[in-house]
Amino acid sequence: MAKLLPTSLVGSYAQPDWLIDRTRLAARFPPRVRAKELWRVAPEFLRQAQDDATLLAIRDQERAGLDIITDGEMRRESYSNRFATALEGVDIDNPGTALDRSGHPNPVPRVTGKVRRRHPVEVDDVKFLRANTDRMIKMTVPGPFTMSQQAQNDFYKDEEEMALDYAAAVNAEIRDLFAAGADIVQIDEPYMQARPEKARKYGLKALNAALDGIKGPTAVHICFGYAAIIHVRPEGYSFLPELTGSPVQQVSIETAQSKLDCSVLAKLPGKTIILGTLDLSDMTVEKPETVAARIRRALPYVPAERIVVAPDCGLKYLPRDVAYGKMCAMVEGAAIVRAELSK
Amino acid sequence: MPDKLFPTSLVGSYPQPEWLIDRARLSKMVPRVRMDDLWLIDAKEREARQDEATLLAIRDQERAGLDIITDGEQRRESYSNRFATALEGVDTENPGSTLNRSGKPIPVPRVIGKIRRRHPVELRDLKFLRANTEKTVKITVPGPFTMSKQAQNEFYKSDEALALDYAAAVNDEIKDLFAAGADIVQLDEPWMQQHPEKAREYGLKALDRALEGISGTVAVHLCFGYAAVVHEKPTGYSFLGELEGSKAAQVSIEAAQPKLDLRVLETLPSKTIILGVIDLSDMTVETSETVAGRIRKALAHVPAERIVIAPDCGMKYLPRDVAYGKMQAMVQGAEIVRREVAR
Repeated sequence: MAKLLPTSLVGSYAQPDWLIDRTRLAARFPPRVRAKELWRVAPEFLRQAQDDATLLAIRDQERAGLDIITDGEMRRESYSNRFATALEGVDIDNPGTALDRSGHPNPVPRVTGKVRRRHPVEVDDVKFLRANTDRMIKMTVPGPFTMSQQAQNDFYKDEEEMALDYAAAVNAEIRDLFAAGADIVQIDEPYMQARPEKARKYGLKALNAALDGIKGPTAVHICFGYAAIIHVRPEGYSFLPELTGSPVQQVSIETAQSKLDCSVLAKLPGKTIILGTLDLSDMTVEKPETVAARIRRALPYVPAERIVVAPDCGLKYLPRDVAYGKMCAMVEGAAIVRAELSK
Repeated sequence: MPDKLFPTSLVGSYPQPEWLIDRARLSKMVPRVRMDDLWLIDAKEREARQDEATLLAIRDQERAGLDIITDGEQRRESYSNRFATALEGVDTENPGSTLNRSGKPIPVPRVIGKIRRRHPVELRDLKFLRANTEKTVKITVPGPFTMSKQAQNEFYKSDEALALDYAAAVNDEIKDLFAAGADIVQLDEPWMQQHPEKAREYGLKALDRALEGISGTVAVHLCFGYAAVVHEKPTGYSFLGELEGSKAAQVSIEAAQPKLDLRVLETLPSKTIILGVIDLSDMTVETSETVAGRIRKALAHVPAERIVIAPDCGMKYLPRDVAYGKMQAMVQGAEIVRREVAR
């Protein structure tokens, strides 16, 4: 029987300061176009440095005891821009502007032609991850709806059409990622929460198009934004039960920082919940018992068999020692509840 | 200490990443004075990158399955110069000169006063290693005899007096390293092989002075020089059996590349042999059966209980993927013979 309450990151892990300028990274909105100036290693050695940072992210996760391993997104300036800027049809040299979820303008790729995937973007990354751990692995790709919101549309008649072309690009990528050994592929769609009306109008349709014909296990992550950047949190999601209308098997949500009313989870029958149990606005490492209590809050609404224990969101902006401590607390907290359930 | 037959270990060094040090220049010479400009980042940022490279070296060794872990000497330009240049009594700004083992003149520290250890040199390194692995840890220190030969003596009346003061400095260091959690401390004395007469004259005496009052497990490494630098190797040691009279418990020798006549090991009946089974002149990764064959050859001359499996020498100059592959072959080869012996 599969292990109850397996543990996993959402996606990113803390990048080392010698690799990327963390101070400048944290002082700005997540890059939507490229931000090559943030890297601190000479271009000719950057690939090896990113590989090595990835190895260390993998080993930290293994050492902390996580069951599902990601590559920590060490090669990315943000969760979305590595993929979004690799596509055909976007101009990143003459970027446009879009409002971030905080309402501030942020430079974004300008869509000047049909959006198409030129070539696989993360396939080498997943192969590297697959070659360097024996555990189950998960890869993240930015979602089509979120990418369509992080772009300036200068080409398509309507945004839905654009989102559907982003979806086709994501679909091609997901197929390649599974073929290269991914166990789980997660689509990051935080903007579905930020723009719930548009998400209802065509976001779900784009998500489903991205999943068309995909057989492997997929997840979708929806959140309220990085704790380091978005400080105010609602207590509930504006867009969540709608995901019952998607074939995606797993839904990754944050519950810790927002103290989410977990009764909403009852509205996602059949979905596995990747349950956020680490508050990433708090630099104090949780006690395992705190994590355990956060897991228990979900149990009335989701059977234990359908829970994966995770942080609220990516650990990208946390100091690495805090991130590592929180992973350990998460693993121990999951073990506490697992032991209770097996009694 | 690992409780199994044929525990596996590096001799000391592991390849350094290219984002840390200029490997192309590094492989051209073995520095005896400091070569600050080999590092690719300034002193302020260097330690963080060295720490990271060390973590990587530790995790590679663990993943390959080694039983005894070193820090891979990621912080060193050479095995000896970090310690040798930190001592009082040496002028490294205005170096002297000596002939290296290939007969070429090289810059070396000029001894202009009494040699004393100012402060612990490798203590932080050892603590970092101890904090980052649960396995048995070994750290290497350059031997007093070798340091005395890699120096220009302008102060002491005799080379022996110089070597004995180096020995006192090493003795202080070894005590600190054991107190901070080292399981094994290894003295690197490659120049005992190069200067056997002097080694007999006062090298052993210096070694014993370095081990005075030490109760932890000490190893001594002797070799014919780095395969990358020294290309012609004899098939026998000029100085080895003499170590039977020393207080060191373990002797590390190279046997693979020189195809050593292993009968010589019978001259060390009380010592544990750290047996070199990886040929570092060959960039082809050995098959595990090749490694097993090399181990079996020693069994006729040393009981299995007194054998540790290792490469011939440090892996500093190997491409990292080759070094990793060779570690795996070494672990698998040891396992083959372990099973045979257990029958």
